[in-house]
Amino acid sequence: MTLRRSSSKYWSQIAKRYYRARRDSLDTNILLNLLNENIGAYNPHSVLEIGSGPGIFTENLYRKAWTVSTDISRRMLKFTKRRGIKAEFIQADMEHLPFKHDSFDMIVAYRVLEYSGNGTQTLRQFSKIAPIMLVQIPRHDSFRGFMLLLYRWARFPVLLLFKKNVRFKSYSFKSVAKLLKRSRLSQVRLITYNNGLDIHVVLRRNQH
Amino acid sequence: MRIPFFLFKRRTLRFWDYWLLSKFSGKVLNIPRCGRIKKTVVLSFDVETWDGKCGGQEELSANPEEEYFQYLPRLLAILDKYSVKAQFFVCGKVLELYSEAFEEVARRGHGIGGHGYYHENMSMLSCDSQKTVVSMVKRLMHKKLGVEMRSWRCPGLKANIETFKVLERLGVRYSSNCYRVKPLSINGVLEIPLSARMDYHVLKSQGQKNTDGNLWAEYVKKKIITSSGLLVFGMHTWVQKKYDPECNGVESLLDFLSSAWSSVWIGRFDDFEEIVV
Repeated sequence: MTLRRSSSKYWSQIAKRYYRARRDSLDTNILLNLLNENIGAYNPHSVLEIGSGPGIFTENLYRKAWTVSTDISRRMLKFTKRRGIKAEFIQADMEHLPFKHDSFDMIVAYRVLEYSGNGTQTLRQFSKIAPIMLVQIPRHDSFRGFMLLLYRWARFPVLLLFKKNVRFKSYSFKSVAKLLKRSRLSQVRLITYNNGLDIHVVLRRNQH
Repeated sequence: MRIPFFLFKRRTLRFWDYWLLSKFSGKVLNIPRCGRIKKTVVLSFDVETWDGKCGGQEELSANPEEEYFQYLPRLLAILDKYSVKAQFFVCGKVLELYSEAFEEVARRGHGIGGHGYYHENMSMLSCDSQKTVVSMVKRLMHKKLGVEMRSWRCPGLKANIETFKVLERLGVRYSSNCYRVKPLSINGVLEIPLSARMDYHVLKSQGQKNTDGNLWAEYVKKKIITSSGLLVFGMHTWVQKKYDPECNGVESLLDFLSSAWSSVWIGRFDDFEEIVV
């Protein structure tokens, strides 16, 4: 298993601040609703959460299915554990996941794909592990999107993000379409929310 | 089945032999997942202590009375608490000397298989001697426990191609003698490979310094989480008794599994009849 140390350190440093800023935000509530809706529709028995962070979504997930949470930062996982969330925690990089083929029913990857160096490769890897994927992708191609990005990150040490060399990629509609085409996954449902600034996609592995 | 060119009659089968068999001669089996079940787990225990010896070797900590009349009931109680059936591979000599301890194991519905008579190296024996050993253990099991022997694990996982012929002739359906290959059928015997040997000395040799019971359980948990398909864990009761007499490791593992019942199936080899195609 390889871990990008700079990313791991960065997320460890901002664990508590990130949780405080994100737990009650509007887009978190929308995402939680979307998550509940999809879990009700697919009724998975086992869920793998990629980039669980401080456990904002894990809190909701572990009551409905057997949940395994992964994150690059050990401190984030410890923080989630201390909050009394009864899931299984594994420290792993999303680009090098240690899971074998078809070991889960569903993958939930919210607020993670923008930090991946190769989105296509990461999505393909997800599709090997589980047949259904819930992915959230931020759309920061417009001026409003850029402003929102600044607003979101203004609460965190933005300069530290660049100093620590953490990857961050913003997607446009075009690049999302390209990404999905390249990863050869069938798209079940695509929703934009938060005034069209975020994209939520349900993906399914192709049967062939 | 004709013996393939790469197998001499007496040679001990190694990993690559099983791999070649699965490629060219044996029949690879699919263990289908029942609905949403992603992982199939078997906990198997080798029982091989008698007369100051563990597995035929002198061992200072060997104490069969304590192992079979204190540790084993504790283990069975924990397995019962979580309603889990495990698989036990018992030596013929142990059955002869301590049959009353294993009557309880059979009564509770756990799988019981053979593990040699004196824990002998099966691949060093001739075909006739192997036949004698297997039939002796089979007869003993029927006489003492009233159970039909249907599974077998060769001591030290050392088998040759003749072992499978003997097992097939004596009505043994399942064997578990190799590592890291897909389940396959050899001479009509279902070879169900081990995923990992879960003993403290093995973990120690892999670089784990601490021999705490929970550390062992954590290792198995991680293996279960990250894998899919069939997982057979091999343990020795004498090693478990020595390092984890209170069964904390097994309890913590079963506690973890109880949270994942919906996607993990756990049972014994005899239950495979329903799920192996």
